[in-house]
Amino acid sequence: MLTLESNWLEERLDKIIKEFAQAIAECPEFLAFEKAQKKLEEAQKAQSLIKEYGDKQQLFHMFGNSSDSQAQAELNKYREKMLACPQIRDYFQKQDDLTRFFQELGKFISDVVGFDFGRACAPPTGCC
Amino acid sequence: MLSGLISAGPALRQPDVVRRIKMNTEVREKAKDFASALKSSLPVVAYFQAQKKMETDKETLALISQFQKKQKELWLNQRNRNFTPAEIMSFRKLQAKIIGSPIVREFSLAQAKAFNLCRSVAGSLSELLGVDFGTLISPPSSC
Repeated sequence: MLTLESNWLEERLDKIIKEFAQAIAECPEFLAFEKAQKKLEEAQKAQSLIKEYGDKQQLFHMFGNSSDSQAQAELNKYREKMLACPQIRDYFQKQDDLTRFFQELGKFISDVVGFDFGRACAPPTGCC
Repeated sequence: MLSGLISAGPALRQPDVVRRIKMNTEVREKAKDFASALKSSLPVVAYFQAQKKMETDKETLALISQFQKKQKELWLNQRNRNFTPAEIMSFRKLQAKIIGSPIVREFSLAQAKAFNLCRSVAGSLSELLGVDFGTLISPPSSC
């Protein structure tokens, strides 16, 4: 068992963190996400659809209101148009897989450490 | 390096196509090494010691229980807009008593140090991976 001193982070855990990051970076979910992200960045049509939806969403948040069903329907139309793009759909699918992977990882670390590691990593707020 | 994640809202969640994620042995082993090292670190050891001390001190436990009860009452009364200044004053007195308790203070400080360390290591992992590690491993928040 390691007994970590005050400079433990730099000296001992540094190596463990690097190896852990390397293992994550080589796992299928991470590689698939990276690939999907690269494809998305290279697809001009996808980029313009994301921008178009982002602009509409911003306008809706600035001037719209959630009870305005016509504005909401229009925003949904743009979202559906965006999601019909294969590169975007694939990106979100891989992002969901990656998110679930990290949540599993968080649960595993919490079980070993003995407290909720995800909660411990969250910035301190007045909420919850 | 990944530039970050894009959000397009909850409509993208498709429970019918959710696939099971299974961590591979390599990630599991490295995660275990990482978590074990973290558990053995001085701030985390001190945090568990302070927690144990707090949980075994009868006086502190009674104070916390009293505080939680009062907090719940106040919360319910607040919802019904049915609380008096005297009740608030009594709650604040209890709150001050808790904050002033050396055992609670020790625990609170130890927890802050341990959690700071967790944020620090999560920050290092985020830098190496190019994604926000701390946010990704946290379960979705209700707030």
